[in-house]
Amino acid sequence: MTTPDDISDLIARCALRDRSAFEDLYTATSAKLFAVILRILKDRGEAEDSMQEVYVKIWHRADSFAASQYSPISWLVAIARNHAIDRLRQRKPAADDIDTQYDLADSTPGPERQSIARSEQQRVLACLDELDAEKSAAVRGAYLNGDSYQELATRHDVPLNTMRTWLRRALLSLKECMAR
Amino acid sequence: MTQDEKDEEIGAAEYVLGVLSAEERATFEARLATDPALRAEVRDWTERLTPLAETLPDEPVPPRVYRQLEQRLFPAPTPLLGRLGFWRMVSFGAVAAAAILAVIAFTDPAPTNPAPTLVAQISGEAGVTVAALYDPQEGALRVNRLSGAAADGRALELWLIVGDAPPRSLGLLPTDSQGTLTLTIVALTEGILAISDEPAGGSPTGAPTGQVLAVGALSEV
Repeated sequence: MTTPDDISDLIARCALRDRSAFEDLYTATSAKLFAVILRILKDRGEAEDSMQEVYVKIWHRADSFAASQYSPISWLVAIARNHAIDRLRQRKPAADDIDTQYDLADSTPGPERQSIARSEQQRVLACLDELDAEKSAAVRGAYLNGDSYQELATRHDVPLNTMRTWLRRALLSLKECMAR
Repeated sequence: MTQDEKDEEIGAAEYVLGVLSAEERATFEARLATDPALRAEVRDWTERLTPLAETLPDEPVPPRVYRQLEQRLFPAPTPLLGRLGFWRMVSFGAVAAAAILAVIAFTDPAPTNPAPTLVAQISGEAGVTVAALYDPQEGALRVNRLSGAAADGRALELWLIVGDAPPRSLGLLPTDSQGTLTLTIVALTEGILAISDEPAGGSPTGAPTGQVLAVGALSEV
């Protein structure tokens, strides 16, 4: 198993232009990043293109990782999500067939969730469960699917500003809960 | 926490969550570039929410993705194949090498990588002569010791000097006459290479301690 320290080390070696480290990093992390990207873009071809773009960025930005003070997984996931969300926002018009392919029943713990042991992870999930179901689903939906405020408002059938207020409160409660 | 700080923080949370429109994201990112406190907020929110991404089951990636990625990042070094001839013949001497360099320079196709390939002939009165070729695509320096050797129980250490900076060790020359040194330098574009006589295992101080046996400047092929 590849530990976070191993991943940090691989990123550091990528900064030194070590190609075999890059290949190892790809092997260790690509399935996770592909899951993140595919969930947002919901199109395999586009997600595959994005994977290339994302790993090109990882290779070129590897030298900024150490100074960023991010944990390695967060750093990699952030590059992947930011790329996928930017790409999603550039699509016109916004795809609205999301619900037909992936319903948003994320508030029910899936089997993958039970297998995760990290306490940090359990904390954010537990704190999400403390929110009421609809808000929890909105936060998850936004994070995992890359939904915009506009899309969330349409889906939950509330005015845009209501959704904004709602989600902001949910985020602050989440932060408070996680700081406990 | 002031209202402004709260707004900042919630802006960071919204950005990380990904709910902003393309325009709002661009505006936020422009502020992010110049605001370290905001970057710290973004980092905190990223760390808080990353576990959500980790709940997604792994999705295997088709092998073609890596193949294409590799071609894109590390294009096949075809121009270098032509230089194998250079490598074999350089031992015939500097004059022959110069002639071959001219031929290579003339026949080489346009480089696929903007970073130049560099060569150096490192020599000195002590009789140590080494040809070096820096391949920017591999980030490696191939060395070919043409004459001279380390004294018994001693080692030959290779140094790079760029501008006024102190010499930086590139490692020990291999005991075999030919070898490759992988460099921990992002891009080598210029400099002078030098070889010094050092204790076995290399300079204990990080700077050359023994006699400098050979020197040569890197130049573009």
